[in-house]
Amino acid sequence: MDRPYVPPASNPGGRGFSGEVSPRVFDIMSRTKGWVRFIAVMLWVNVVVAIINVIVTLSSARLPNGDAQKVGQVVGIAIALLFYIYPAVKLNSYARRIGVLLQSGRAGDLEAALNEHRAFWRFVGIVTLVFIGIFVVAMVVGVAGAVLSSRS
Amino acid sequence: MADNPYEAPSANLSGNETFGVESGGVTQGVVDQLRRTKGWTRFIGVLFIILGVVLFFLAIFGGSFISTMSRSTRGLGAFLGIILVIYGVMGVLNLVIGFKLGGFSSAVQRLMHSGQERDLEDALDRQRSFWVFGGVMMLIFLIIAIVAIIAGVVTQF
Repeated sequence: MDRPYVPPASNPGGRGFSGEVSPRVFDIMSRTKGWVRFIAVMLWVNVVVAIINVIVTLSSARLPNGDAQKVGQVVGIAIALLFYIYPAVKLNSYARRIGVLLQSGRAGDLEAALNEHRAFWRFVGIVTLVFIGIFVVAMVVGVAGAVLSSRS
Repeated sequence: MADNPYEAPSANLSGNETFGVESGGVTQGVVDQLRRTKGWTRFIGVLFIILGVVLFFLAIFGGSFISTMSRSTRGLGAFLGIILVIYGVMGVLNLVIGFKLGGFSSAVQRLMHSGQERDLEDALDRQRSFWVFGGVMMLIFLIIAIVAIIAGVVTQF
């Protein structure tokens, strides 16, 4: 390094060159990983409980309102399962990508981790929007039904 | 920019779309991912704040309603009081979650404008804080559920 004309050299294994995350980012992400993993595991536990619920419902004796109630319950639980599985997968991937980032320290891996994080929030946002839409439609139908029944 | 390959490199001080300099992990891709997350977290955060305010006011106005109840309905009032306290606690929790998500979105907004390493760290720290809060809440609810199940089983015998 004493010679001023030393050619520039890449630093593939080292830290501190452009494209690597800072030690503080490294620390923050390492402290995020455990909690994200925990929440993902809890979501998977919910999925397993819902599956057990489906099995119990299917194997149970006839319900008071017949098979229609049983089918309704199973369909309801299956839909709820879908809402749990995707976020659980995405949070699990987020935690796994953070693990890769902690191994490499590369900004590219931070980007990959944040991509999973973004996918999780996009799903939550879209599902929330759908539920708000259903709620508004139900409100409008309910009010319209009440108005029509009061006129007749 | 690409028309002249011999053009001198330049810093992107406004930093909205592209980043000429990468430092501490502040790359174009990282900022882009956070930018695309920001809208959804802002949306969910606002919903949590609205829900929190509604629950909080429900608890307050419900409490004032109970205080006007006659002596004959005091038993029902105590039951409603417990429910309203739960509403109040849920309202505060919703507000905390909403403000945490809002803080993350605002930090990403600052990062988009500055491209500074400290703003990236701030944004990531805020999302860490959200996950820690969510995890602790989940742990508390899990413990309450386990205690309730044990209490239910014990009272059966």
